Amino acid sequence: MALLEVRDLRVSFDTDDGTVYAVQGMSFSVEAGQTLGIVGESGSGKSVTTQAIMGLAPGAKVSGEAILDGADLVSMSEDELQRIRGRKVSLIFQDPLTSLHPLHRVGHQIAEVMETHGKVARKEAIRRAVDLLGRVGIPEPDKRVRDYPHQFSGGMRQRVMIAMALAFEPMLVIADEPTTALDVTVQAQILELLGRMQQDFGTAVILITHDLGVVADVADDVVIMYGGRPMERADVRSIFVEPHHPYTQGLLESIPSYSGRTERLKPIQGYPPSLMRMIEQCPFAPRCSQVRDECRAAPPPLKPAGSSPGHLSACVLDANRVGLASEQDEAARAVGAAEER
Amino acid sequence: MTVGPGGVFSRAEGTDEFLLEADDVVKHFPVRGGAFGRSHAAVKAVDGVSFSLRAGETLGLVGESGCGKSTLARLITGLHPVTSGHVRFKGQDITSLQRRQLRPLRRSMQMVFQDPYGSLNPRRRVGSILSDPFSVHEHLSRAEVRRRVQELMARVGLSPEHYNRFPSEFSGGQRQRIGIARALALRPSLIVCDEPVSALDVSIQAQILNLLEDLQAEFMLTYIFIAHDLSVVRHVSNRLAVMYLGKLVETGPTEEIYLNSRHPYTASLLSAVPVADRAFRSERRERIILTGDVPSPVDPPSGCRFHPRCPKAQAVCAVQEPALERKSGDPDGHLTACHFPVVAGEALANASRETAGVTGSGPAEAVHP
Repeated sequence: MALLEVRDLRVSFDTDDGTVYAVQGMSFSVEAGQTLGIVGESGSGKSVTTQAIMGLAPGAKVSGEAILDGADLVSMSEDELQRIRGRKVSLIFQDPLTSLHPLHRVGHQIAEVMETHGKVARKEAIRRAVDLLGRVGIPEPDKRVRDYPHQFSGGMRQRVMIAMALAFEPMLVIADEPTTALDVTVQAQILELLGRMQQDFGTAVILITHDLGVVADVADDVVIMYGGRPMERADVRSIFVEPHHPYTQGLLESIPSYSGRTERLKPIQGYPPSLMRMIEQCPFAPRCSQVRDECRAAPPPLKPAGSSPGHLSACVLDANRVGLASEQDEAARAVGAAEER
Repeated sequence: MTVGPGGVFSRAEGTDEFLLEADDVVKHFPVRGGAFGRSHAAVKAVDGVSFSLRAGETLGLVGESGCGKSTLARLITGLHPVTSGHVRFKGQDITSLQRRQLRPLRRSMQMVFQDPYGSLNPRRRVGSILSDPFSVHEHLSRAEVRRRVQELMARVGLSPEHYNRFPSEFSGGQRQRIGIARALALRPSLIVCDEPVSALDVSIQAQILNLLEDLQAEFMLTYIFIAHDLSVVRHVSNRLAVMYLGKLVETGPTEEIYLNSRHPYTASLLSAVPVADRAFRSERRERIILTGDVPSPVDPPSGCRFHPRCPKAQAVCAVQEPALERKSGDPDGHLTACHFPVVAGEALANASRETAGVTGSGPAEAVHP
């Protein structure tokens, strides 16, 4: 059974300009000890999804269910959620400087987490903070616990956040763009640390990111989001080798290839949809090169695609048509040429 | 130097003339403090950088935050005065020119910035923003300016009817098109692009990169392209310069450096990039995880500035600064500043674990098995 099972999650916000339908039907699951990557561009709803589940989206109207360890997070009271956050589920954000209090010593902030949730005495809490800072690779942790956040570099601050997130050995860590603000060499350090901590503690991770490279590196399973809905769900290999949804394919073909092929990029034409209204069709239809009439009738549900079990795609196209569009064309041409002979 | 292969942006052969030459360029920013605000130290943002660029080339400038790449870009375009050294543009030394003398040259050197939100005045209409270059540098009638602006908007893929809109009415990708239109207005020969696609989503990023590519071919542009995304840099540039703490550590034809990087920093930087298509489609390169953080540019390490984090560092590296020079076996134009350059097939990842214990500066993961 999945550790976290999210079904038909919908999140909307009332604003002065009207209602924003940020998430319009999101479903996914996370297995214990695994890493799920949620990938999407700005405004796709990837961050709002987890914030709403954890009760961290003030003013949001949330419906659907999110079953964690047998209990539904969506229907929980704030008090119940408070007990879950930090103990069973921890969060790590993009910018550690805004998540750490600038006027409190780092050790104090980690100790506070332990005092709040673990009923531990201050002295013991500080001792455990030192231990945690050491485990996340901060040199001289017994001295650094007395430092303030600004005395740490960006990478070191993210290590502090990871230390705080792991204070109670949670079942699930939600990391929202944890390395986006960091340089690549520091990003490599932090991703390696997250992976090692995950192994040590057996924690499941939801990694929210716009970076397909990071996902390819660390995720076991991937959900691709667009316009507040899941477009495709699969194990990480299927997403990259046998993408089914035209949006996933478009994303993969938009990134410059690292392997040095210098042909022209294939951008997705147009711009993402406005979420100021309910989208009653496939959200990608206006930009899709393979759009059909039925795409405009209703948003297609997730259905099996490709050859690997668990590979789902919210697209009406033939389920067996997988792989990048450009390569499909090549394959089709090769078949055609063979038939002519 | 010759134009290397690869890099879709610049297939045009360079001429013999250098469009731009930087000669030992230095920029120190004084750090002020104390009761009288006296300068007591300096951030050595750019500390002796030399390179040259031919017309039609695209130079990719890479390095991590604080390495001085954006400062260098501003020195080249004359936005900051240099502390010492010379920048020659079309043969003319711009570092010795007065503001007024610099002005006619400014129109042929333009910049595109990362943040299209921050670099456009939110209270001015797009048409008005884009007519600035014409009113500053050319004396045209209003009707003529409007015609030129609308022509420009159409060329960068904006609808000319949106002449009277405000920047906030455009999406991020469209705003970057406005920034490009503004840079292009006076037909410059050099455009310095400072992280032009970093704030954009990947599907939009590809649109902008293709636009820049088309404009280069159409207007014979030379680009200096600063980006932290190394896949983007590889795609667009045909020459590469890698910076670390104010110094060039390696420079040369882009493909040559990607395939045969000689500086341990370049090798680590390239290996650290998470790459979608590499992970499942081709070889999985071993990742070199550097230890520690980039040191402060106020008080950079002695000798080679990379030595405290370098997996190959030896005693001499802390004492003697290596010169940027051609290493044996490398083609002309591939220069490396290293006493012990990386050789093909060398396993740096293991070395980084061993030396981490020796230098003692590394965090735990380096000593962790």
